[in-house]
Amino acid sequence: MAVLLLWSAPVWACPVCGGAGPNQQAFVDTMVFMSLSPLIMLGAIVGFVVYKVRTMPEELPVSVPVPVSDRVPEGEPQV
Amino acid sequence: MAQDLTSAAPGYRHRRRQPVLPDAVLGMAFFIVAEAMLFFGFVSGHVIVEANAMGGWPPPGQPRLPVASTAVNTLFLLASGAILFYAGRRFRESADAARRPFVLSVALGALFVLLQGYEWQGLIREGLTLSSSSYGSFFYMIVGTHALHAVGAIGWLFVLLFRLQKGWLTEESFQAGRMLWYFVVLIWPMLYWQVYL
Repeated sequence: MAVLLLWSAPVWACPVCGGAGPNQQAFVDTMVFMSLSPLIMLGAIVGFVVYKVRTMPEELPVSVPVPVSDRVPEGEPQV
Repeated sequence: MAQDLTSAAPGYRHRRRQPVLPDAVLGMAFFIVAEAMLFFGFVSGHVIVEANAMGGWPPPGQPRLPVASTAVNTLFLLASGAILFYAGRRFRESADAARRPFVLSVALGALFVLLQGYEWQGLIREGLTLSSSSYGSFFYMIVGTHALHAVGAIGWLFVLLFRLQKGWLTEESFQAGRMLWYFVVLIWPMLYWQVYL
């Protein structure tokens, strides 16, 4: 990748941002695209995780209370 | 001092919570987002430079890209992705059922990369190189980066194929590998549209 970057011919994209006409439109379009893309993709991942958490079955909590009759006294090995 | 989160409090029976998503899948999803942004950056630069080109695009004197043969090659790549999707479905039934479509998918992916390399040979002979113009730079940068991803993903799919043969392949790692290949497959039409058309 570094070789590709160093070997490539340089092009200057900065002048178009201040100019008028189709070049500026291309700059604005890509700026909007580059700004929104990560938000949309990360938002989709987070949204999917939230959806999965909400639709998870309720019988899988982190820990559930054990009935008093099932509790193992301290010192005895747990089965 | 680190807290032991795996032990249950007294009076509570410990149960490990089922993960929302397998770690490999979630990690791959974030990796794909980062890689997608890399390609989007290249494409954005290409769009701006193309709009800025005074003498038209492609620049005069530069060889034309083989649009038709690459379109056929694109079909191979898309078929590879579709067959891998099918292999994933079959894997849920049994590992044996997934083997043949998995091999076919990897073979089609490898064919895509080989044909790309053959195409590059012709273009270099015609004078299109990384330093010949911004046209060549963008072509090799975008298509080359995609080819690097394709080679890396095929290498990983080979590892997964080996694990499938040995009976070590898990659904989680197969799912993560498939996600990477789907990314390689699905981003290519956008790159093709931007660079070739």
